[in-house]
Amino acid sequence: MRIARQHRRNARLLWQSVLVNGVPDADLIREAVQTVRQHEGRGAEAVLRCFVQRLEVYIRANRVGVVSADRLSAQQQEQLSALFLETESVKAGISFSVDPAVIGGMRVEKGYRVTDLTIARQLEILQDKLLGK
Amino acid sequence: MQSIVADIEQTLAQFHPEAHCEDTGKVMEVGDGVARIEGLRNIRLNEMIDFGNGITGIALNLEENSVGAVVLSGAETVHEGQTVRSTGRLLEIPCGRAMLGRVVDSLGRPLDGKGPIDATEMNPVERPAPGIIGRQSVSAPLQTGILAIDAVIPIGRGQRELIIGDRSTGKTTIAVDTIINQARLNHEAEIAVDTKIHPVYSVYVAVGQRQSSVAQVVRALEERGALKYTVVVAATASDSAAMQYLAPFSGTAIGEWFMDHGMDALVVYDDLSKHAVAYRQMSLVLRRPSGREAYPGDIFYLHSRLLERSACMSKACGGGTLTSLPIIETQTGDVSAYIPTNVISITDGQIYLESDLFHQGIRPAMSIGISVSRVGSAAQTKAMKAVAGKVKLELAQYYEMKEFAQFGSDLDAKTVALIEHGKRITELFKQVQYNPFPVEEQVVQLWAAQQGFFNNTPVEKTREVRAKLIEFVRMRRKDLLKDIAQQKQLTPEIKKGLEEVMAEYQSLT
Repeated sequence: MRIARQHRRNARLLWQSVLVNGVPDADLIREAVQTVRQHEGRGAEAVLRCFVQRLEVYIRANRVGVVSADRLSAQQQEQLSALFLETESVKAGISFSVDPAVIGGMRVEKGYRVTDLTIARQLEILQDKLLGK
Repeated sequence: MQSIVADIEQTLAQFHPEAHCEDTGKVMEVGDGVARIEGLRNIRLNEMIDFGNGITGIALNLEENSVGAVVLSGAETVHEGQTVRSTGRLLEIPCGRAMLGRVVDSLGRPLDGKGPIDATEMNPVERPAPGIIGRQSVSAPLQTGILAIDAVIPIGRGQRELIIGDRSTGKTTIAVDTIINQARLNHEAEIAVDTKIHPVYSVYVAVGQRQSSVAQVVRALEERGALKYTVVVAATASDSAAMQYLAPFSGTAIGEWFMDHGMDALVVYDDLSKHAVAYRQMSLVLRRPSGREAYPGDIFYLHSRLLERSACMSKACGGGTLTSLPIIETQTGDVSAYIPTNVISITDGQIYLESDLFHQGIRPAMSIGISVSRVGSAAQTKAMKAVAGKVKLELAQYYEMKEFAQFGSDLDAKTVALIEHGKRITELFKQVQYNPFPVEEQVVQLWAAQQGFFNNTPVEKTREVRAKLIEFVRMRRKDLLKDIAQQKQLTPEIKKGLEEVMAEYQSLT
């Protein structure tokens, strides 16, 4: 489907209409999608597609992911969640995942901003230092 | 082995683990050497991006939700979904004396198989041009060793002189001869331990050339002892558009190191037409809006910011110079095309080479009429000014009168003499490739021509007689040549010496 500049513009306006204090509101999103779907034709489909892309980008940019070498206990997860909610404006949820490749420590990914406290990353840095990079 | 272990142990002892914050992104699509990345929210324009496994890219398009980056090498291994990191650094290239004698790519990596380069300093590839206050007027000559150029279209240190012409008209030859002449002068200054002569270090940037052509140039420089004063930056036709785009900037960064340290450098861009084509390709893949002839809107800025970095710095700013010889290839002699007119308006003059002259055997095939140097005689020694001052006018009169002679009309003696003189000057301006003349020998030739020395010589024998005369002066009156080189002007004693040696030669032949 060909997506024209006008569709992208309309999708941007639609996105701005669902924001409350800079955060997308779930009810407003549902309402907006319903309104667009009532319009027939390819234009509506193109606008919806662009709108969904924006939403996906927002989620990816604002979710918090915690990666650890071993599964964190429920208590540890609760403590971390509380800490993030206090200090960071977490708008798209927190997820916990396991990756044995990190060896130890944890990596916190807020959107695309990564704070890496894993042993694997420290070893990479050490390797670069030894190779003179 | 023990020292290696000691180094490792020292590095380990000094290592302190710490949290690492970085901006990452994810590759959404990749193709044609360009990757579209989501994320990298805080990246800046021209910042380097690390794709992992030694692959780097540059952020060129900063859009609302994505970043368009050119992958500098290894784009075929980048895949969708790959995580990338920003480095917080601009692209830099190694520079310094360690680069001399080496052939490198646009990132400064060696291509000549002579091992790693021990460069201790790095220069940013993109850098603002020197300001107005820090510059001074061009006054020191850059001797190309080509009589036609040094006499009529003189180039000064810090000038930008465009070499423009169709394919196979001798553009690269002029540039290579200039580099060889600088090497010759550098070598003579080293032997004589003459600190008054400032050596000129050369950078030859090959953009989009055949690898065989670059190899030929490197061999020619090496055989004539010029490679040790030269850096060759090669982004050949098989390299990506991104590498071809970067090559002139990398070459300029290498040349700027010499300028910043109070030395003189020469950069040859061979050629900027292919550079423009590479930039067009990159811009179209980045989906930038295209303009005339599908070039992006900032194609002028591409070359203006490159060439403005060539300068003659004031004494207060080190006194270094960076001279540029950009090369542009025209199609069927059309100098009014888009890219040629752009670069002509940027540079301080042009040397226009014509195919017709080339095929007539006039090599270098320079069109004296439309070639110009905006620096002019400010970049000539007094000696050269004295003998070459009238040459351009004489040649212009010759070309005009030659038209009349074709109609077979009866001409007066004065016109005939003018035409004959013009023919001999044209013959003198012909020069063999890789055979630059020192400036003192150029002065001798032109002085002889102005005194009518060649008037009785058949036109086709002019160059032969010239060679014999120069050889004679070298053998009998080497001191004269030395005086001209050192004093840089024709004193009454030098003129008398020249008259004596001409008379002696004529009496013997």
